[in-house]
Amino acid sequence: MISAITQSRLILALGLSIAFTALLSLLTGSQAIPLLQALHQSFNGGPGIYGLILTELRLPRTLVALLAGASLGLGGALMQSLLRNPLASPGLIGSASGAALGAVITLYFGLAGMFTLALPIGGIAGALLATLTVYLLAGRDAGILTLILAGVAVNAFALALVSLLLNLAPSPYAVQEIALWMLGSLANVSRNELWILLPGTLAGWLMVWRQGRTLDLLTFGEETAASMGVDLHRLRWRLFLAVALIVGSAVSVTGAIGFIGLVVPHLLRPLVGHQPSRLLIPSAMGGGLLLLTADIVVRLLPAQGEIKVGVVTSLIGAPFFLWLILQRKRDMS
Amino acid sequence: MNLLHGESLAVSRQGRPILTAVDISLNRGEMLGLIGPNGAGKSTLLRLLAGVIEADEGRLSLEDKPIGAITRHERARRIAYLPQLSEIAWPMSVERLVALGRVPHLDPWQHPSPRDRAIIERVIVQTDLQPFRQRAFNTLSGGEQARVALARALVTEPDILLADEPVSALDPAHQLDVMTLLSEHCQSGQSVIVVLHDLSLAAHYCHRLQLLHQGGTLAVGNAEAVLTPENLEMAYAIAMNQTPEETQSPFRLPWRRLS
Amino acid sequence: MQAKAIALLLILLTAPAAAAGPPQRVVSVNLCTDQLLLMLADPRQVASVSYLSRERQSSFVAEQAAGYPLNHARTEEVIGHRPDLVLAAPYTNPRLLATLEKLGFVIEKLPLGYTLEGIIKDIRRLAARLGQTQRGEVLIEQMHHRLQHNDAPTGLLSPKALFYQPRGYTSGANTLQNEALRLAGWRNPAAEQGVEGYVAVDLEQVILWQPDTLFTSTYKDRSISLAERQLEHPALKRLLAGIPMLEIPYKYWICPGPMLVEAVALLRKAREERDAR
Repeated sequence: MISAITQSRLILALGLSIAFTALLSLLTGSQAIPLLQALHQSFNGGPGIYGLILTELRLPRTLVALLAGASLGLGGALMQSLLRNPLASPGLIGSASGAALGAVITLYFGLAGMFTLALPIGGIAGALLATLTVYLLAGRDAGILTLILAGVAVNAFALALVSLLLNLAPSPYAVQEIALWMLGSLANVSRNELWILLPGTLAGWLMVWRQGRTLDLLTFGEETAASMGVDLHRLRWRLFLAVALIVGSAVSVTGAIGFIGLVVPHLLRPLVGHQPSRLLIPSAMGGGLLLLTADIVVRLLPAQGEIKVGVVTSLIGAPFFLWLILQRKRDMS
Repeated sequence: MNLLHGESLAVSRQGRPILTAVDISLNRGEMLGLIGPNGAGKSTLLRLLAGVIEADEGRLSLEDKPIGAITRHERARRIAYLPQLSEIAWPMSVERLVALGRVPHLDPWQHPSPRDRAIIERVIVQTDLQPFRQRAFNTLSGGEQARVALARALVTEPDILLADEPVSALDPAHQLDVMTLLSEHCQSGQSVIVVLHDLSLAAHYCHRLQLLHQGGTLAVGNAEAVLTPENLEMAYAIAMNQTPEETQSPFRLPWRRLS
Repeated sequence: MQAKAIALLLILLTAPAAAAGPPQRVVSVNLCTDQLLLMLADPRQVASVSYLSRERQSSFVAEQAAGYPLNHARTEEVIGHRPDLVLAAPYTNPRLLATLEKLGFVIEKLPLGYTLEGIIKDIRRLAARLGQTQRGEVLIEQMHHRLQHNDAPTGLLSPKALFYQPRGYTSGANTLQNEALRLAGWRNPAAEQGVEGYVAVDLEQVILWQPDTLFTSTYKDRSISLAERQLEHPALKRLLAGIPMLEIPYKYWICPGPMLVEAVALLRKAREERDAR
C-alpha cells in the first residue's frame, strides 16, 4: 500500500517547518545578539549594529539558503522525472560541477566585473553544457549505470578544470577557494548575492510552471508520452534549460552543494504517491529546508573557521546514496 | 469516408527499409487486425499511425484531413496508443495511472471534471481493476499490469485505439477479456487496430485482417481471404491446421469466457 | 668564546668563508631581512637578496634591490654565492637552515620584532653584525624624528580601527599593524578583545566591534576572488557609513623596519581627517 498523504497537507507541513527553521536561522550566528533590539533597529532603519547583523548578514544568508536549496531540490525532481531515473540529480549528471566551472571562468578572469549578471550567466552556460554532454554521452534511454558513468566522467573533467583555472587565476587567493567551489558554502553571502541568484532562478521556475502533467505522462515512457501529446524535443530543451538556469544561478553563488537534489525528491516521492507532478513543489520546499538546516548546523558547530555547508549535506547525502544503491541491488536480485 | 487512411507509407532506418509503400484504411466501428511474422513492420506501422515516428514517404489522413494539419493535442485526444511493453517508471497507484489517460482532454492546470471522473470510474469497472485501484503498479501481476495499460488508453475515449500485442503476456482467460473489451470499444462507433500473433484470436475478433510481410502488405480482407494456406506459407513459412479433423493430436482453442 | 668556537668549526669543516672581520658576502633569504640588510649594509657586503625584495608592492627597497643577484631560498642557490653570513627569519624553512648549518655556513636569525622597540633591537643587532653600527643609529634617529612630534595618546575616546584583509583576516595584539595603529592613536578592538596575531574573524564579530574605520593592504594588484569580494560586503559599507576603506601600502608594514613610520603617518592623517569631520 502507498501511504500517500494529501499534497496540500504535505505542503503545509513543509511551509511551517520552513517558517520555523528560517526564524531559527535568523537567531543563529557566531555572536549572540538581542533579538528584540535587532528587530527594532531593522524596522526603524536605524544604524544599529544588531539590525545590521540581522538584515545584512543573517537575512540574506537565510534567503539564499532557501532559494538555492529549493533550486537544487526542484532540479533533482525535474531531472529524475525527465530521465525516469531515480539517481539523476544536478550533482550526478554534471549540472552542478559544470555550473561551478562556468562561474569560476567568469568570476576569476574578470568577466563578472564587467556586469553583475555575467557570473550567473557563466554558471548557467556551464550547467547546460555539462548536462547536455552527459545526456549525449549516455544516450536517450540510458540505464542508470550508463548515466552515472557519464556523469562521473563529466564531473571529474569539470572539477579538474575548476582546479586548474583557480591555479592559473590572477588572484593570489583563488587557489584557496577550490574547496569552496567543490563543497559549497553560504558564508558571507550578502544581498548582492541574492540579486545574482534571483533572475535566473525566477526564470527557471517560470519555465517549469505547468509542466507537471507532462512529466506525469513520461511515466509511461517516451513513446507513449509522445502519443499522448507531449512534444518530447521541446520538453527536453525546456527542462534542461530550466535546470541550468536554477542550478547555474544557485551554484554561482554558493558553489556546488552536493546531494540535495538526489536526497530530497527521494525522501518525498513516497509521500506524494510517486507522482512526478505532485513532487515538484514539495521537492523545492524540502530542498530549501534541508540546505537551511544544514547551514544552521554549520554555524553552530564549534570549529576554527566555518565548516563548508557542503560537508554537512554530503555527510547526510553520501550514506543515503549508498543505501539507495544497496536497495536497488536488492530489488534486482 | 475512411476514418483513417494511409497511402504508400514508407519508413526506413539507417538506409534499411522497414515499411515499403503500405496502404492502410480503417472504417468507423471497425476492428482491424495487423498480422505478420516478426520483423514484418507491424509495430513500426502502428507507431507511425500513433504519431510517435514520422513517415519518410506517403500520405496519412484522419477523416480526409492530412495528419500534419491536426495539432499534437487533438491527435492525442483522437488516437490512443498502447505499446507492446507497458513501461511504468514510478510505482504510482492504479487509479492515478488510469486517470492520466484523461490528460489529453485537460488544459495544463485544469482539474478533472465530474464527467472525466465518471469515465475513469466506468473504465476501472470495465477492466476489472476495482480490487487493485489503490495498489502500486509494480506490485501487480503481468496480466493486471496489462489491464492497467489498456484502461489508461480506454480512458482517453479515442476514436482510434492502436494496440500493439495487447494479449501476448496474458493467460487465455485474460486474452479473451482484453479482446472482448476491444470489440466493445468498436461497438460505440470507435475503431481499433490491433497487432496480434495469435491468428485464431485475430480471425475470431477482427472484422478485417491485414497481413504484413517484409515491410509490405501481402493480403488484406476478411479472415477467409487473408488466412489462406498460400499466404501463410509465404509469410510465416508454416503449414496451418485449419480444422481439428486434420490432425491426431489434441487441439484446443480458447473460445469464450465463462464468468 | 663563541667566536672562537665558530672559527674552529669553520676551519674544521673547511668552510668557504673568511673568519675574521665584518662579513663581506651576505646572503639574505627572506624579504624582511633583505630590507634591513639593504638599508644597513655597504653595497659591497651584499651577495644576494631574495626575489621578493624586488616586488614593488611588498618591498620598501625594491629599487635598491635591483642591482643584486636574487635567490629563492633554495640550498644550491645560497651555497653558490659562497656566503660568509646567511640572514634568515624565525620562520624560514628549517630544513634549509639545517642543511646550511651542517655545511658550516654562518646563519643569523633576526628575531623580527613587532613593536617599535623590537624594530630598534633588530636594527641594532644587524648593524652590529655587519659592522655598520653608525648607520644603524642614524636610521633609528630618523625614525624617532618622524614619530616624536605627534605621538597621539590612545585613550578610551580614541576612534577604533581594524586591520581587515581578504578572507576576513585581522591583526590583533603582537603585530606590526597593531603597533602602527597604536602609534597613530587608534584603538584596535581586536587586540583589546584578546585577539593575538593574524587571524580570521567572522563578519558578525567585526560588526559587533563597531570599528570606526577599516584599513586594508593588498600585496598584489587588486584582483577578483571571493576573498576580496568579502571586503565589499554591504554590511561593512553600512557599518562605515559609506566611508571607503583606507588602503595602506603593504610594503610599509609587512616587515619590521623604519618604513613602519610611513604607515603610522598615513594612519595619523586618516585620524586627523576623521577628527575634522
